[in-house]
Amino acid sequence: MTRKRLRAGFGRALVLAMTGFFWLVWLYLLAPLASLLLWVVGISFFSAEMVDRGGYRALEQEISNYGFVALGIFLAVVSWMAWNKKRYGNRNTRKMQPLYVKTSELAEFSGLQAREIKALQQARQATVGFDDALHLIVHTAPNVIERKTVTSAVSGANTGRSGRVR
Amino acid sequence: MQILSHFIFFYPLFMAVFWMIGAILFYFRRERNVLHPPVLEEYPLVSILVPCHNEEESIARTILHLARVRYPDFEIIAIDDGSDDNTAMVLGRLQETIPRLRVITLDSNCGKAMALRAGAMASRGEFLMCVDADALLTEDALLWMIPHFSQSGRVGAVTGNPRVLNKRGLLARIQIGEFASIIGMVKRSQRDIGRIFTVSGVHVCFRKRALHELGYWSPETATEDIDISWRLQINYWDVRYEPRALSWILVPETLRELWRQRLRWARGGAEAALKYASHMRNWTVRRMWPVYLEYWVSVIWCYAMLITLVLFFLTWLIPQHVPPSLAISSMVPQWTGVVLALTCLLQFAVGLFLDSHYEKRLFMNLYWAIWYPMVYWGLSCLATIVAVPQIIRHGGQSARYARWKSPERRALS
Repeated sequence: MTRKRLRAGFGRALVLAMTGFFWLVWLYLLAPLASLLLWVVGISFFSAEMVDRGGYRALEQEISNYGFVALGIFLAVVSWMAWNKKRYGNRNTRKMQPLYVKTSELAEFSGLQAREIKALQQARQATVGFDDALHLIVHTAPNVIERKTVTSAVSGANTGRSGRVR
Repeated sequence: MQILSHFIFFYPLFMAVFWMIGAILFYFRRERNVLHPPVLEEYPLVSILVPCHNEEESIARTILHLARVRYPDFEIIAIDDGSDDNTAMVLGRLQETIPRLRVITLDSNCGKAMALRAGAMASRGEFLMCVDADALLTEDALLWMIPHFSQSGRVGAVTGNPRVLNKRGLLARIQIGEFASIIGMVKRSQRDIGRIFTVSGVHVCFRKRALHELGYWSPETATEDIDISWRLQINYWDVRYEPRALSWILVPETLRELWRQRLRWARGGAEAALKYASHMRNWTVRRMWPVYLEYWVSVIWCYAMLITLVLFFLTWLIPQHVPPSLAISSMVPQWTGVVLALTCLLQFAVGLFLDSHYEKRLFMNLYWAIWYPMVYWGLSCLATIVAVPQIIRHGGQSARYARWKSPERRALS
């Protein structure tokens, strides 16, 4: 067996062992529960520990507090969801699909001419950059997409009308 | 100290309950009975934007996957963000066999936000699907995402469900549990309350009109995905979560990379929370309040945890110098520990159950999930403690972090 393989095996074993260790830590958190179960099966006097000394009351209190908060969270989430649906779900002020972004709008935003944006949109390859004002600069956009590959793709885009997609 | 101690243990406990309740409600309302993507009358053109920087090893695989997407009308735009490896050459070769593929090359490394902006200007579609260069989009992801835009004009973005591809190594395995038991559940429950803290930048679909109104992605941010999510929602656009739109992603495999990623996320969160604080006073953005409040409570929790740990160690090391009112002699939470441990396990189980619909044998990873409290609550807590003062010091911005670098990962076989 090579040294490399040995090292890999050791690494795996270490990771497995460490994960096992964390499970033990997790189990340690359950120690009160484990002791409770041990009392139940008769290792010691359950009633003396849990009833007389109040161990049961502590658990009961914990579960009761926790349960109330969990219920509160549930009610809060459901109420918020219901309010959201009532307030926003049925009162959509954007009845129409928003307009598609036009080439002229892109040109205005990017600082390019509309024809430059069109050329960029048709290019298969282009080299671009940004100036200090974050405006786009097109260095080269030589290869226009062949028409056959885009005929279907172009339809509907950049027409400035509603998308008619339902 | 009693209040601090209660806050430390009860906050994660109640958040876990909230996430479980939210995720289960989401599952029953929106997920359980919808097995096939809705059929549309018309399928709008979608531009898939793939920003890449030095991705020669992974870009071919990503593009080949995208070329197989089952959607009637789409184009793929790879944006080479000033790579100095062979990314450009690989893309050139791919163009010979994939007619839909277009390549936009940036003359220098401008960062992901600017690469996406260049891609948006070059795109012909009204819907922009942004995919990371090392993520593999599943074939029907677009069929699940696009109907959300058709259903409502308010929808500005739809974020998908990333799954972990690299399952080798402990860190990767922990993150499988994390993606299932925390990220998926958080997104589901946030979708229930109407606002999402962030889209997953790894694969998210935007409406170009929404982006255009907002001025597209901001380059002056550590995480463009958190920033754009907040801006969209503050401007009354909806962000939706679609758990059936899957992509396979590579997660960090070294602690250094994981720390770097978490620190970046923490900076992005702090940045958004500070940058948009003034908007929260506005009654009309009240739907953002739960998300905003939850963020700041989690930040306070991180510092409370730090204070508790410091006091615990001081009590242990120099008990005579610690005032009795500040002394913490034990970190073991007694019965609360029982409830915490059981809730934690229940949360794993619920998360894995929900996501096991999309990934077979997910329950096999339950064994590794025990690391999650340490990694998620520990590492993220530490990252928040480090990031928040940094962002405050820089006036709520982190422009110097805007350029990104791909994490170190082992090649996939």
